[in-house]
Amino acid sequence: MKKLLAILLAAVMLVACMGLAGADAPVKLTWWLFTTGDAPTDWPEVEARLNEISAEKIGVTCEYKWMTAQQINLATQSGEYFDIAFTCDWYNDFATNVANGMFLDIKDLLAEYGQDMTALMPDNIWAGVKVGDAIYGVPHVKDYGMEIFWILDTDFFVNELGLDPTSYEAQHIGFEEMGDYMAKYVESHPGEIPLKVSKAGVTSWANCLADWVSMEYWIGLDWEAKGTDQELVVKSALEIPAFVQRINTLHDWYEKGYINADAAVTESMPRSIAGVVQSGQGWFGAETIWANAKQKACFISRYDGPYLNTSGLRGSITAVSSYSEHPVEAMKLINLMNSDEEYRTTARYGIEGKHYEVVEPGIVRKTELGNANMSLNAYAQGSYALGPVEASAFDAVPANPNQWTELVDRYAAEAISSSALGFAFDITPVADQCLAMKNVWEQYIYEMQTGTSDPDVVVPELLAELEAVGLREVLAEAQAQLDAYMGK
Amino acid sequence: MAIRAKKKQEEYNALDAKKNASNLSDGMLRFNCVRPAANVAYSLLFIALALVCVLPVVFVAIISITSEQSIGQYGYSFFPKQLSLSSYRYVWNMRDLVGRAFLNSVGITVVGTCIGVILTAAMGYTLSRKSYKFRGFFTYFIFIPMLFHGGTLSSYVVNTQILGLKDTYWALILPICCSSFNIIIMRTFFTTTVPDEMIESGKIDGANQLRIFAQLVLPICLPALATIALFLTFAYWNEWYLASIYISSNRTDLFPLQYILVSIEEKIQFLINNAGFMGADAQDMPSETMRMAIVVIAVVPIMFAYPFFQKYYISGLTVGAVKG
Amino acid sequence: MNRPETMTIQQKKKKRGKIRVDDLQLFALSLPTTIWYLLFCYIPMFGILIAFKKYKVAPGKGFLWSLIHNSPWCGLDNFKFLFSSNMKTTIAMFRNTVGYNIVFIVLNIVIPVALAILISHLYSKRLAKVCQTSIFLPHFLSWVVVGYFVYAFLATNEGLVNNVLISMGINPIRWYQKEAIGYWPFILVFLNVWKNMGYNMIVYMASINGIDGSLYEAAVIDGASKHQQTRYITLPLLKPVIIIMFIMAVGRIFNSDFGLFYRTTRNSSGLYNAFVTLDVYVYNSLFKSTIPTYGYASAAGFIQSVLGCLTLLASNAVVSKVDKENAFF
Repeated sequence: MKKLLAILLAAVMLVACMGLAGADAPVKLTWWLFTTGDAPTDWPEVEARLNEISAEKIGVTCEYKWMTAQQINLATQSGEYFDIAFTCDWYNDFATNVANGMFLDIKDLLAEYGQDMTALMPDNIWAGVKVGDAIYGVPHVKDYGMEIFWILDTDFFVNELGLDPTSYEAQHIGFEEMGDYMAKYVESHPGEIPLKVSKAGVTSWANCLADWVSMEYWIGLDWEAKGTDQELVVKSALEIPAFVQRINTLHDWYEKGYINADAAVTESMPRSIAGVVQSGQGWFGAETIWANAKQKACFISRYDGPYLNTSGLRGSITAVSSYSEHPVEAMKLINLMNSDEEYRTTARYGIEGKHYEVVEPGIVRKTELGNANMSLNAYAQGSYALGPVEASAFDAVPANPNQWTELVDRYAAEAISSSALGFAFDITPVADQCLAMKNVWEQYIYEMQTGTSDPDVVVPELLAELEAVGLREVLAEAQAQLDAYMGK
Repeated sequence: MAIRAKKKQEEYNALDAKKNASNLSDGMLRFNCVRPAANVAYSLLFIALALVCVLPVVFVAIISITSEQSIGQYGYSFFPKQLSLSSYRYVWNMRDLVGRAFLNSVGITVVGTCIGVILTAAMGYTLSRKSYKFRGFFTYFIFIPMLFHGGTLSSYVVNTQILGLKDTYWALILPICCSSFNIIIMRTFFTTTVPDEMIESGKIDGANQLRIFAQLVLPICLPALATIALFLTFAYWNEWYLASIYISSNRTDLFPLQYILVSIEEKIQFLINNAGFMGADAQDMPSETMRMAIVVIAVVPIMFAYPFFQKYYISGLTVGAVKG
Repeated sequence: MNRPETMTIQQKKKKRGKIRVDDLQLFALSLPTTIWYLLFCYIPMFGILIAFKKYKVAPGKGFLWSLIHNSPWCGLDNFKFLFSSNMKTTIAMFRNTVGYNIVFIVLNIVIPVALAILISHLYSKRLAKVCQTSIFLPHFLSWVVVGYFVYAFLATNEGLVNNVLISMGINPIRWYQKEAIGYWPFILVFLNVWKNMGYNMIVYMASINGIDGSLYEAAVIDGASKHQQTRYITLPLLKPVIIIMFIMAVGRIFNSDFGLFYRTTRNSSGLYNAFVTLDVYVYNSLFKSTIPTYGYASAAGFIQSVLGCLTLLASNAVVSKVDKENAFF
């Protein structure tokens, strides 16, 4: 009797399983995301909710893996399986992976399944991910042109000096100009340092100094030479006047005491304890994020940009693996992430009510739980422009829900485009020289970018050392590749 | 046969106890000391050394309760102008994570040390027997990996794809439970402490090597075992690199304690190199007081575990009764 | 030398070439460890090939296929980057690596042995325990933390040392800049000994503890002084351990403690020539690179292995001439 029952039970289960298997189970994908060290604590909950949405809308569920730079390099190089991955200039290097055939050409998939997403994206954003005719990734709509800002304490600049933060002048203080303000600061606050930096120097100080062919090895084109016949000549940073001038300015500031003395050996300088003058790459609208980080009211003032170049356009890309077993579903999911507000908002902020609350349409405020457990690099997931912006903690710094449309308009109006848009330098033929150059730069760059060393002394020294390890060969190779690229 | 082996062991122990209890030994203790003046000199030397070594740990503890503003303005100091427990509050907020990591580290350390001691002692013993036919071969066998490594990538491939260890505790335990350095030290201890006569007498009693090893050899080699156990304990407690490559970022339930501290460091290094590109949303760097707080939490437990091992070195189970 | 009459029974048995039950039993005892070595050391060793190839991953085909079919041999190309820097840096690199290690090897044997012997003489066992625990503490601190500590002393403006100098009327020194480069070798050696002496002491203390007390008794009865006891009993009985530690340290003479050199100096450019070792150079070149550099890393590791192997064999040969029994092989 018992045996009979057991057999019956087994038969029923078998039929049920077959039934289930026959039914349309959602396709399961793997998506690799960027993190500097840890995954958001509440992510499993958020992922469950995301999978609910995507299963219902497109029949896809996804397992998200958060990988550090080292982990993703190991994973890709050892041939681990993935469907979708984050890639850019400085993480999971886009150019190298494309050269290895790691990413899928998604041109056709975009046309068929990515229409919702592409409709929301400006045209010029695609230049960075195209190689020839093929498209190897979906760039994220964010601050893809480079604009560098001063982040200035409201306390000093507005309340003490009386600047009007909404005026055009206050919002466009040049780099050198800041010296005058800092002089006033040092006068009225003796013993305090206005510009405190770590060994990384003034954040993003060099991003716009040249049209970089490779910022890692400090070679690029001179923006100033645009329009002349020198426009496409690849030079070392030390041969570009704007670069040398800025180092001189930094050294001048160091000598005057505007920069902390041990900057060149300081490892970290969190925004909350750095000085009244800070810097960062961003956009008009980012002041809310920075104010939250500084825990003080501030306003921003642009000193560089906007520039459109390959590096900026490659700041944030989502690519599909060339050996993915479900490329169609992968494209559908990327399309969902970049066009569906519900999905995007959940991925970025978490669960409504638990991790964030809606303040008004287009603006949300993260709860304490949200700040603690849903802290992540949102721009690495997908479009930054889709969905609500974050509220500011300070009334003096209101959030602007229209910042992204304004950004696209501003780029269209003001941005200067690189002449070598889309060009990527492949260092393999000169890899040894590049590594040696990197080693040499490592010995000089921290002191240069913090103003510690005297440019009059070190620039010739550095140039001589670079030439001794093969700078000219590297430049020649880069030039040859660029010429070939432009010749196309 | 087993009884005879046991009796032999008891004989040795009795001899040992007799020696320690004899009047002669007591007299020895009093008579064979260094001069009092020398003792004072040595004591002062050691106290000075101890201070030099303790100071930094105390300093780290002080930094962990210094306020950020104080550091930003006045730098580090033994007598900070402003104290603050905010970094411990931050760690308290992370108590689930840190508490779990603490338990993980303890578990991994205990299991790993036990496995490591057994494997190391077994190999060390077989290599110490001069009559062992494969002695030369196996010495080379364990010597080569001491110098030659396949590198991170191939280890990663073997451990994740062939052995399937990714995101498991075993990935944090197995790769470092043996080390040729430890085996060689064990071998040296066994060669000097365990004479062939004892093994011979055990064999005459009919015991096989496994029995001899477990019942005769191990009990008299406790200082050696304690040494290796200590080394392994510290290796496991301080290990973080394995976690950084084999544990996915979302598996915080597997994180060991040191990894949390180091991952903060890695974060900072990454941000130093790339913050210029990452733009406004780049997560801000944790402060130095917070890092010090985590250091304190990682160091204090092991400090209290250490005296447990120490008794094998100072008051010691004096062994070696068979020598001479 | 090895005439039949002078050989022991064991050696005779061994020479006969038959595998005895005893050998099988010992083999069985060591089997788990052997398996461990095969899995975790020998199988991954094929990774050494990466040093001689331009590794290129073939998407979707897995690691082995990529290594065998997709990565061309490139001879010694991957090794070139170690030497392509300017002469000054290359020389400094090798000089620092080997030079510091020689000093470390000597100090890390002499000092811990001396301390282990002295600590066994202390009257108060309590004091000995407390001090030994304290001396061990630096080992728990990672070099990152030690770096902060050093910085607290040597920072230009807020550092304790400079403040003391100022109060004594001496000009402060900018410790992390080029002008202070002469001090750093001493600082680095001091830090290395400070961190490791407790750890190394352990091995020697355990050995001393294993020495039979009756030997000392017999010596005292014969009228030996403490000094003579140390010289004729303790040191000779420590010899095997010391020699092994020495040989193994020599085998790592081309490796360096990365944390010591990189973190305490904060990778300060002015001090570069004083602290650049092979590992620091490799880290600066490769580990901050965004492109995968496994070939180069593998080549650097391989050179360290080969050179270390040669020095270890050489030192082993020297030791066996003097003292055959205690040599490594």
